Amino acid sequence: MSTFTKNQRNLVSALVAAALVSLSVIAAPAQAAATGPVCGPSTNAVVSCGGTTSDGAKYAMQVPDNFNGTVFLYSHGYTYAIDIPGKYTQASVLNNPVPGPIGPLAPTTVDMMTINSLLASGYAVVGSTFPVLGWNVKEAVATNVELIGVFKKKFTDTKKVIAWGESLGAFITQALAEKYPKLIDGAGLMCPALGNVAAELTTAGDFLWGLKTMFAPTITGRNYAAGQAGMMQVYTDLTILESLGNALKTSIGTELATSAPSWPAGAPGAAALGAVPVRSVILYLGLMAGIPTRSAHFDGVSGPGAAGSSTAFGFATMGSPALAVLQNGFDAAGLAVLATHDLEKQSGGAFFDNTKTDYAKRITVEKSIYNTPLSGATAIAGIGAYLANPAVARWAATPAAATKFATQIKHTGKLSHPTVVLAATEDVITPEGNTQWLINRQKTAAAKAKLLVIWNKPADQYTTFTAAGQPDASGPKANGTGHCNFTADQYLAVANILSDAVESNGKLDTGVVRENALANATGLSIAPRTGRMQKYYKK
Amino acid sequence: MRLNRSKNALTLTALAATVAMVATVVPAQASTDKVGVTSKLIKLGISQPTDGPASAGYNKVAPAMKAYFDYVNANGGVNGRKIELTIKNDGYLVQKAVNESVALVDEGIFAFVGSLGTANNLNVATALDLKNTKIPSLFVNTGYSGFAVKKDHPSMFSLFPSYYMETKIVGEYIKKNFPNKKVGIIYQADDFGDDGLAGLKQAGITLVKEVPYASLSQADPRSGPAWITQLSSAGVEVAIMFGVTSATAVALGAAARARYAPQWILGSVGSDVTTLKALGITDGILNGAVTGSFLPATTDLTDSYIKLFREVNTKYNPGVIFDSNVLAGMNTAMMTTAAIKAAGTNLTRSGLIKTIETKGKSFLSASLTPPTYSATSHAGYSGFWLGTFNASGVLVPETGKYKIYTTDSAKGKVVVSTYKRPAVSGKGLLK
Repeated sequence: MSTFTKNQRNLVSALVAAALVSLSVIAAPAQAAATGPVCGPSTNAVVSCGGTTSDGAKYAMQVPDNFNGTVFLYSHGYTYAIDIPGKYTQASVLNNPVPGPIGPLAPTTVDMMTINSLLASGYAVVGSTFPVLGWNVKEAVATNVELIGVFKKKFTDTKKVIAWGESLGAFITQALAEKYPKLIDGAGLMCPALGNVAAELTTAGDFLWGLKTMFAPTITGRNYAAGQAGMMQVYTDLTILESLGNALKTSIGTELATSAPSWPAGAPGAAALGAVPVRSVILYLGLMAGIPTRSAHFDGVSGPGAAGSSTAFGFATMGSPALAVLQNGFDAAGLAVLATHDLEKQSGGAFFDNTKTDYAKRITVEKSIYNTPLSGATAIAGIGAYLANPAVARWAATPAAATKFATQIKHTGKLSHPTVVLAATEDVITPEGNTQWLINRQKTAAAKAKLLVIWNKPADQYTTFTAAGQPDASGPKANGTGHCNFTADQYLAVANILSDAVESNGKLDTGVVRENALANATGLSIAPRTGRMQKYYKK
Repeated sequence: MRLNRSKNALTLTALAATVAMVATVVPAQASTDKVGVTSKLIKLGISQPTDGPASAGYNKVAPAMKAYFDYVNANGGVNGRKIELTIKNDGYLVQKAVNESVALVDEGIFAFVGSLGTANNLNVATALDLKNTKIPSLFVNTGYSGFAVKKDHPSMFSLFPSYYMETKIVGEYIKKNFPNKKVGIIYQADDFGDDGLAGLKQAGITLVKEVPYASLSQADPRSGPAWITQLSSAGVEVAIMFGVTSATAVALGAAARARYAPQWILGSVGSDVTTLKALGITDGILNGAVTGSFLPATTDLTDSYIKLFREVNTKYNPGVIFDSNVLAGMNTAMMTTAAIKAAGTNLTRSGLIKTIETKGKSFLSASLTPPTYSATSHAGYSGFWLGTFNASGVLVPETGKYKIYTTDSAKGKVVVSTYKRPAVSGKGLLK
């Protein structure tokens, strides 16, 4: 089997040590003649082909000798539209197309299990880099349309096309399915962004604004300058966030040990809110933005010491939700910086606007649920008053940019094919509200029958502690947390259900095929549940 | 062709026959109205702390409910069905309450009943979207007035009088019995305490000192002395303690050590004698404190409900002291039994909700005021009687017999109730 370098990135933690070595941006490639596909000899019973679509996107195809006529067209997730020195280059993405999911992001590992399993079972796989990076739905849909034609022309025994993708790739897949329903036969939406991108960027922007307002006034956060000056602002913001994340982690650790507030130096919120613990402020910011209170390493239930002890209870109540928000929130803040910079370029200016946001109202219910870790009604009122103070600057959009941003491609939610969604209940980048949005749009029995939602749910308890009783966040992310944090077996559950559907008159199985697919993977559930809608969501 | 995982080379078709034999059938989403009901069984669930630092006293409620259901089942059940209560320990953690409630739903319960705590119930209502899924959550164990608002919580039913009602009544009591005294309050700074504070203000009480405390901060040894210093420094003569029992114990203990002896008025939530004694509060410290209740005194052996519940407790909950937590649990179970009975043999979730709205006012219950359910309100009981702890730690009604005050959670007046509660007869079972 072929292997691929792990150069494709989903939206993940953007906390990078930005050594400001080189600043570069890759422009969209000029329109060029398509090339390929050029195929090598069959190796290990698989033919590998490569080429370039007419928009300049490189693609990869792999077709087993026993090709059964069904191909999986993969759309990868968000890739940064700028270089991050020492960490990431756009060229590494644009030169290395990936035809399928390669597992949760881990810098040194690539999980080929999904792709190899598909090939071994007679399925072909294909995917491209897309011609541009960043938020690229329009361009990516066009690339996929062309790529389907290229594949079918080359492999004329193709009978079925299953489009699937992760994160932004799922958005692209649904957009493709809605605009070109005749080109595909089934769709897999994994850790999907759905509807429109505004909800994600509002969540991320609200949290980032909160960090700037409370702790780090030098964060730029939005309205980035053009060109290299803007990229410099992005790098600076990422550097500030990394430093701030560490400082806040230290503050919360100190507070849990001493029961006394411990604000980082230079935090503007300290003057007015110094008597309120930082952990309560962080939790407030997370709740108002819609950040999950369970994260990769903090479950909201576990604590050090014996189960049921005061120590365990205290940590689970006071510490865990805040630490989860901290862990999740800095992923969201990284998204806010990188994606906002990208989409501001596309929109022509600032589109995030919180000038009319009533943050206190946002947490009407949550302030009751989390009253104790928020340190009580007096502290809650104090934080709310600080955020609402007219002297605390809000972020206003540029009207023309906001209007242009609103013209970004949106989904209708209409399903024309069997569609399988794989979504984590604690995904901070594309929260479960995305999936619930799609569920809510299926009004008829016929429409509902086209959709299967598979929830990836964390275990009830997964936080671990060191021998000294400190929370240990060094292990892998818990299942059902993080973004696109799936195993090969979980991807294959989606693939298996979809392949059965497209080979069975387009109907999703409700019996043994589904049961088997789920039984082969851990942590998955199709039990009826309701995903919480995002804090902010345009109808 | 079916997809194989290349590493294991397990064909799904081969696996299919095996898994099909053991696979759990996923409940159909369209038929949730009858989930948890068979011809012989009704499955109910409750999430509450059964251990841990927040469980004191509360851990007796669910077992008492179960004991009453066992009693009902031993006498034929309800409409031919037995009631099965599954108890989950949420440790009084909001996330664990959701986890355990999801587990209960996954286990196929028909309804939640008696789940404890404002924050926990709110988190469950939000995470499980009870507003739209319409899973009934009956007779929640909290006086938070918000759960009585049908438009926000259409499948939830309050049972206890609201905290707002309670302090409105307490306010009238203070005006009548302690005019011109300086009044202060220690209260839990959340919806619980805020509700109570608002009721006092609605009653026209002027508070010379308000001492809010964050939930759980009572565990800090500095808290109690600090509260008492604030009250005594303000010259408070009538001190209201509106918190959970563990906080009441901290306040009373600190006051006793400081030789500060105001007229204490305790919120009903924080005045369970058994728990207070377990936390070190002696009869002497408690002597003279005033509190309220909507149920008869646990020591009132002339009350037919108390007599019945004590008998049930002896047989089905052996070794457990009959206290206000046991009483509350058994009364909740009695209300639940009445609701299920009234909903008829074709039991559905929607039918049960409708039944409580239309017939709930007449359900058999030990409360000295009737429930006030209607098509527009899910508010439960509406009144309290007030009493004073004597030197033996027994709560004695203010006039020697129950004088029930009733009101609403708005601006309605506090009036003496004329409700005549029917005595429970025979085994107290519904025919």
